[in-house]
Order: sequence, then structure tokens, then C-alpha cells
Amino acid sequence: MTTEMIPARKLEAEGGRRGWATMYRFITLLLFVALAVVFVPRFASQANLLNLTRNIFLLCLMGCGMALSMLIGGLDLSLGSVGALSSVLGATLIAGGHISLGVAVAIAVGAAIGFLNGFMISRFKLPDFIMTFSMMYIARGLALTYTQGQATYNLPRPFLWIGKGFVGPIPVPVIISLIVLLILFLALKYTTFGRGLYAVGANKKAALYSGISVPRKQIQAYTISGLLAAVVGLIYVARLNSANADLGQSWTMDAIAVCVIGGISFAGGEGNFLGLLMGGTVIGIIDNCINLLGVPSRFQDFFMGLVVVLTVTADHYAKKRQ
Amino acid sequence: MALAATKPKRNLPLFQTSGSIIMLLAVIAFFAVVAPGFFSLSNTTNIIRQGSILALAAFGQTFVILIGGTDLSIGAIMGLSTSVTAMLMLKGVDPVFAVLIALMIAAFCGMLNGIVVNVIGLDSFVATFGMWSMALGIALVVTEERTLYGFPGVLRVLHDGTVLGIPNPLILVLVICGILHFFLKRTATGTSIYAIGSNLEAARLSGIPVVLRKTLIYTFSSFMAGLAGILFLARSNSASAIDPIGYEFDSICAVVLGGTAMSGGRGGVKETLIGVTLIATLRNGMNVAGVNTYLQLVLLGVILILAFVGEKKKQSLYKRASSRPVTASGGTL
Amino acid sequence: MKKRAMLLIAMLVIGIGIVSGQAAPKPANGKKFNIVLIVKDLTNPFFTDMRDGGAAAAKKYGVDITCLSPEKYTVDAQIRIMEDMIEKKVDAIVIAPIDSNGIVSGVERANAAGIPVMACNTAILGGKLLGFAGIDEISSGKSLGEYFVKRLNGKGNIVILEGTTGSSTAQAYLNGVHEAIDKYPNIKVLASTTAKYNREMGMQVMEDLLTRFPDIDAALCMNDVMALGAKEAVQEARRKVLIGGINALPETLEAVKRGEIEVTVDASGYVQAYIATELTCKYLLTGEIPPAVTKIGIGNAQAISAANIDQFLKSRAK
Repeated sequence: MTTEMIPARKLEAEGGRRGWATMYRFITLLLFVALAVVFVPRFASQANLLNLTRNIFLLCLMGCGMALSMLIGGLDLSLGSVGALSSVLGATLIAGGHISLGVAVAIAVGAAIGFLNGFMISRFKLPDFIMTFSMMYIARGLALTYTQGQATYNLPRPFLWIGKGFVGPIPVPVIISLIVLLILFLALKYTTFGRGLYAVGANKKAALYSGISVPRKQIQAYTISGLLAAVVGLIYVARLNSANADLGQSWTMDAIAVCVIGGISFAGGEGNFLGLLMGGTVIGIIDNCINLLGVPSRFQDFFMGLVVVLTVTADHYAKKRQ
Repeated sequence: MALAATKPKRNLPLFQTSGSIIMLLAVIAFFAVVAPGFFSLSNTTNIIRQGSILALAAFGQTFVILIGGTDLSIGAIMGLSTSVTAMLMLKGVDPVFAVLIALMIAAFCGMLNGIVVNVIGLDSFVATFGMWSMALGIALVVTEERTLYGFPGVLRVLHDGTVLGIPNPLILVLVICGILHFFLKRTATGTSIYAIGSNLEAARLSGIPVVLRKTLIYTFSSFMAGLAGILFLARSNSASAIDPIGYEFDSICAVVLGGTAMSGGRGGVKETLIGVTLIATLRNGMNVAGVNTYLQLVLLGVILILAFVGEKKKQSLYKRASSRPVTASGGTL
Repeated sequence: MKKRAMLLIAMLVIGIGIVSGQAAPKPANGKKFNIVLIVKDLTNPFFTDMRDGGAAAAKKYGVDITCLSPEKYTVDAQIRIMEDMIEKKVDAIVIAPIDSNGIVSGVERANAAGIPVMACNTAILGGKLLGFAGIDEISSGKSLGEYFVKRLNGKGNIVILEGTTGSSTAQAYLNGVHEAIDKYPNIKVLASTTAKYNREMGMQVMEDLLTRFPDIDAALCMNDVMALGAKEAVQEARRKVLIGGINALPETLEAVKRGEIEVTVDASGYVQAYIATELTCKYLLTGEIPPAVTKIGIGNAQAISAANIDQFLKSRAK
């Protein structure tokens, strides 16, 4: 990372840049949707839109945790494993009837592991990549050891509501995701916590000089990321009605894709949650269309990569023009 | 060696790598005692064979990390190279030609990576992530998600054969490592890579063709991934697009474990070889010792963290030591 | 100075290694036999059942057994385990390969080292094998197909959730199903797609199938885990779709009792591993070479539905 100082002027221009990027993303998105409605059979059916919406928001929720770690210039590879570990631990209690306790335990475990990640990264200056990569193995191994390969199933109905229930016409996972997105969006825009995150991501040294505690921001970001991983885990367990140690194998890459298409930069300090929402929508729609058209799932990877590169390139040129 | 401490970023090879070497020796000693059959010539050969694929992939990754980037596409390029070679051989193409075509395709992908990162200017993580996805997709389409088999087993000798009793993969790895090491440390182009990694602007200002060299490095990295893919094919005599996925992360781990910093400018292929050996030895040792599969994952993660923390501690000690004035004979004042 | 310290440490390590190497117990007559059971994936209860079956058989014959599964669901990882077990000098390997062709090079390595290899559950298409013990997958698939033919009275729309492409069992189940249903032109297969033996994917694939086809009568899943995922999707969409699976996992049997899943076919992992291990132990102890193929017909690939579940459970108590 270069050590240039960031004048206040530039940070303001950043905000403007973000606005522009968000707008053209929105337009592209509308285009996608229009194409899908016209060309993909049953895309606009009520049942499909419901599934689509649910999947989009689940993707976004996965992306939220990853976004936080990416904003400070890091990466959380342990997302899936943490989701698996926290949910299998909580599931045992939930299956026994102690729903609130189980949920609380799961969330606590997720946050604790996230805290550990952030702590090790800040204290020992480990590369984020390395620490979360190792944690990915550790958490998965612990989850497998705990479950011994067995699934916990037949969970109580009230818990399943988290994954399958509705509030009015809206699925519960969508509501949970919306709340989280909103909180994070507002926090990032209007609180010192949010500004601190951006500052650390943009330029660690400058942030230090302006009195922001880099270690604290790292710990905060990773703790929330772990917590959110646990939430995603619980929702999936509720949807599948089964807690299994091999949950979340693909979450990390999916989350990265959502963030990247959503305009969140790996280098840190750039992007917002509105963009994330759009990133999730794009991926959700592509996946949905591919399945509805009966195209074999192996084509999904190619299109995903293409969209990622195109989006980020377009972003890049849009920025250059500013 | 005496003047080394006063020159910034000059490598003291032994000191630099001793952290991981000590961990490696400790791991070997541990498994030698705990696991019968571990410390034997045939098992060492086994480890060398198993680690050779990672070594090739990690050599390419080393170059990318040296200039401060990351190549996430390696596993997918390996899969692509494996799949293409297999498919071509099944269609009757001569194995040698099939390999050459696959390597060219791999290098082409790397060139695309390089262009996107250095000419267009995208972040290396993002660009190579996109390539990962696309290469994986193409490989899956080529193999139709099956494992390809039934082609001539001519290539197997690359992995299973020996020359004068020395396993071929070892020869391959050592020769390539030697060449790369010489290139990096003794040629002008090679040392310029360190310059690019430490300070891009200064390198550019001193006339080094930065964009060209960086693009070539990404090309090289994918080429090595292609080579690793061929060795992978030789190993199992079957081709699956998804089997090599994961090597990108393993290769990054091996490189950083060996002592090359992710910020660039420091390290090299010799160090990477140590990192690869550590990972391969650990995995093999745990299997031979009969460690529970679930526990293996946990241990792997824990030991990786310990190794990195140790490496960091040693690096900070080194920094402190090198900032003190040094006498001609190497001692400190 | 640093160099000398390192040299000392290295010599120490080599010394320890050589000494330990000599002290290692060498397999000989009178010592316990040591075998390894390699399964595909220990997060599927089918394979934990296999592990238990193998353990029970080994115990009966006084043989030591370790059960390992690869950390990644790839055949290459299984080959790696085989190589390491060869170094460990196990007396035999019993393996359920992830890919019937991909595993061959691992088998050949074991052959070269003189270690017998017994295939279990999924066939191995190459190398020298001690034998194969597994259920008759084709008849399992056929059972499933025939059940639905009867249930739907020879007419209806079905979708098929396939297993991992490349696995011989997946292909065999599929062939069995087709053997049963192809004779009936009024049974239409709307779609046949893979859900990779995975629960999450089973649910997602089923979700999309439900959207694509408003009129599905039955979903035939090539294993229980996918069926369990599919059932969640069907329930959520509030559609009436009969679901069938294969494996007769306890979880599935409960679902059958509750009427959530229509039918499952008995294909016990426990018994398959038990028999494969038993044959291997017998070979090690007495030299008795097992038949090339041992098809296991427990209950003769019985389709278990609400109608006969109680009697099945009773007969299962072993």
C-alpha cells in the first residue's frame, strides 16, 4: 500500500464517486431484470420472485460480513466454516427445545471466533488471508469433531420460522437481511465507527496518525463478520431443517463475488452496502436465470467470473473519468 | 555477510528461512517418533511426489507475490490445463502436443490476468478471482463435470518414474527451482522484480519496463500452474476440473510460510520450497500417524498459525537487529 | 553460528528418525493385522454407518481398523490417503472411491506395494482388486422406479435428482431407474439433473425445478440426503410432490413414517462395509480369496414406504 496522505478534498470526491458507481449499477440492474422478464420463462412468476428475493437477500447477508473485512483491506475466508461450527453447536440446544439459548450460543460462538481472528491479525500482524485461512480449517475440523458427521435434525417448528416463516408476504430471512443491511449502511455512513473503517481501509498509516485505533477496528470488523456468519448459518439450518458440519462450503467465494460486483474493493476503503445489495441482486438473478433456462450448473462459474471482470472494469473506467 | 545488515532488503538467506526450517525439523522429529513408517526413504519419496505439484504452483505464485500481487486463479488454471490435455489426448492428439497446447492456453490466461491487472489497472485479487471463475467454468464444460479417463498413460512417467533412483518430480522441482533462483538473484531482470515489489515508482523511474515485466510475471504464474496441472494429470491418470481447486490458497500459504512477504519485495523460490515441504510433510505425517480426519483439519490450521506467528516474530527480531550498526566481522556494537 | 546450530538440530532429527525407524513394529505372523477403511465423506450419515459397519467386522476378527475420509471431496485426496497408508504399511485397504476411474492409479500403487485393495459400495474400474462388495445398485434404482410406476399408475411427470457425475453408483442407480420407467411412455421425465449428493443443493435444485415445472408428480432422488433437502423445498412451496430416496437413513425413515417422504430404498452402508471388511479380514487370516463381486441383497433392495415400514424396522434390529 502506498503511503500518500489523503486530503479531505479527496475523501469527499470519493463519496461522489460512490454515488456515480451506485447509479450506473442500478441502471445495469434494471436492464438485467428487463431481459430476464422477457426471455426467461416463468421468471416473473410469483413463486419464482419469492425464491429469487429470498436467495438474493441470503447472498447479501453472506456478503455483509465479508464486506466489513474487505473494507478494512482484509479478507475473511473462514465465513463458511464459522457458520457451520456456530450453527451445529447451537442446533444441539435448539433441538432440545431451548431455542433462544441455542441461537444465543451460535451467535456468541460466531462472534468469539471472529474476535479471535481480529485479535490474532492485529496483535501478531498476521496477513488477514493467512489467519482466516487457518481458522477456516480449524473451525471446520471442530465442527466435524463435534458432530462426528451426524446431522441434527427435526428441529422445533418455532425455530424453523427463522428460515421458512413469513411476516406478511415477506420471508423472514429477507427481513433479517434487510435489517442488517440497513444497520450497517447507516453505521458506515453516519457513525465514527463507519468512518474509522473506511479510513483504516484506505490508508492504515494515515488512520493511525488521525488517532484511529487500527487494531480495534480490525477486531470490530472481524467480530461482526463472525457474528453474521453465525446468523447466516442459523438461517440455513432453519431452511434445511438440519444442522450439518459441511454447511457453507461455497459461501466464501459467493460472498467475495457479491462484494466485488457490489463495488467493494479488495484494497479497502471503498464501497457501500447499497452496492452490496445490487451485487447480490445481480448474482441472484444470473443464478436464477441459468437454472430456469435449464442450463447445466457448470456454466454458472463462467458467467459469474465474466460478470465480475466486466463490472469491476466498468467501475474502474468510470472512476478514471472522474 | 558482514555488510548485509547495513543494506536494506538484502536477503540473509539462512536467517530468513530458519523459522520455517526449525518448524519443519520439529515436525519431522515429532512424526518420526510418533508414526512408524514415516521416517523412511520410501515415505520421503512419497512426500516429495505429493508436494511436487504444490511446489510448481507455488513457484509461480512466488513471483506474483514478490511484486505485491496475488494470483487466485492457480487452482482453476491447473484444472483447465489438466482437462484440456486429457480431452485432447482422448481425441487422439499426441500427448506432447496436448501438453504444449495446454501450457499455451494456461500462459494465455496468465497474460490476460497480467493485462487486466497492469494495463487496465484492476486489483490483482479481483482480476484473478474473475479468471478463477471463468477458467473453472471452461474446465467444467470441457469435462462435462465428469472425470476424464482412458487416454494413453504416457505422461505418468512424469510423476511415477525415476532417473537413477531419483523420483522424476524431485528432479523437475529442483531443476526448476535452481533455474528460477538463479534468475531471481543473479540476473538483472530477476533482481528488478524485487525492485518492482519494494518500490514501484522508483523502479519505474529507474527505467525498468514495469508494465511489461509485471504482465510477464502473471503469464509465468499461470504457465507454472499449467505445468502443475500436467503433473497433477500424470499423478492420477485421470482429469477432473474441480480436483485442483484449493491449490491457489495452498500455494499462497506455502509462499508466505516460507518467508516471502505478501507486501512484496522480499523472499524467493528457495523459501517457498521450505514452505511447500512443511505443508506436504505435515499432511503426510498426520495420515501416517493415523490422526483422526477431523482433527487433522484443526491441527493443520493451528500449526499454520504457529508457523506464521513464529515467522513474524523472527522477522521483527531481524528488523531490530539489522537496524543496529554492524562491524565488519558481522557482530553488533 | 546460526548455521552450526541448524546443522546440529538437523543431525539430531535424522538420528531420532533412524532410531525410531528401527524400533517400529514390523508386520509379522502373530502380530495384529492393521487395515484401513477409506470412505468418501464423513458428513453423510451413510458413511458414518459404513465406518461403524467396518469397525464391527474388524472387531469380530480381531483386526485393527482405521477409518479415514479425505478433507476435500475429490478422488485425488483419496489417492493421497492411499499413498500414505502404503507408507504406513497397512495390511489391506478397503475403499469406497469417489470416482470409479480416478481411483485406479491409487489402486495400482497399492498393487505395486503388494497391499490388497477391496472395493466397497462403488465399483473400481481398473487395477487388481481383492474383490468388490456392494449392493446391487441397479436393482436399487429399479426398485425405486418400479415403486413410483405403481404409485402413479403408470402415468405422471417426474424429475430425477442425480448423484455426483463420475460416481459409478450414481450412474448405476440411474440406469436402474430407467430400466423400470422406460417401459412406460406415460411416465415423463421432465428433467434429470445433478444435486451432487448434497442436501443444500438438493433443496436448491428442487426449488428451481418446482418453478420451472408447475406440474411435477414425483421427485426421484439418487440418495436420501438429496431427498431430505428436496422435501424441504417441496414443503415450503406447498406443492404436492412425492419424494423418493435411496439409503434408508434413520432420518429418512422417520420422514417416511410422518408421510413427508414417500419411499426410500434399503441400501445399508453399515452392511456393505461390514461384509467388505469381513471378506478382507478372512483373506488376511486364512488366505481365502473372496469372489470378484459380492452383491449384497439385504431385503433385496426393498422399497420402504409407510405401508411396510414397521415390519422393516423390526427386521432391521441387528
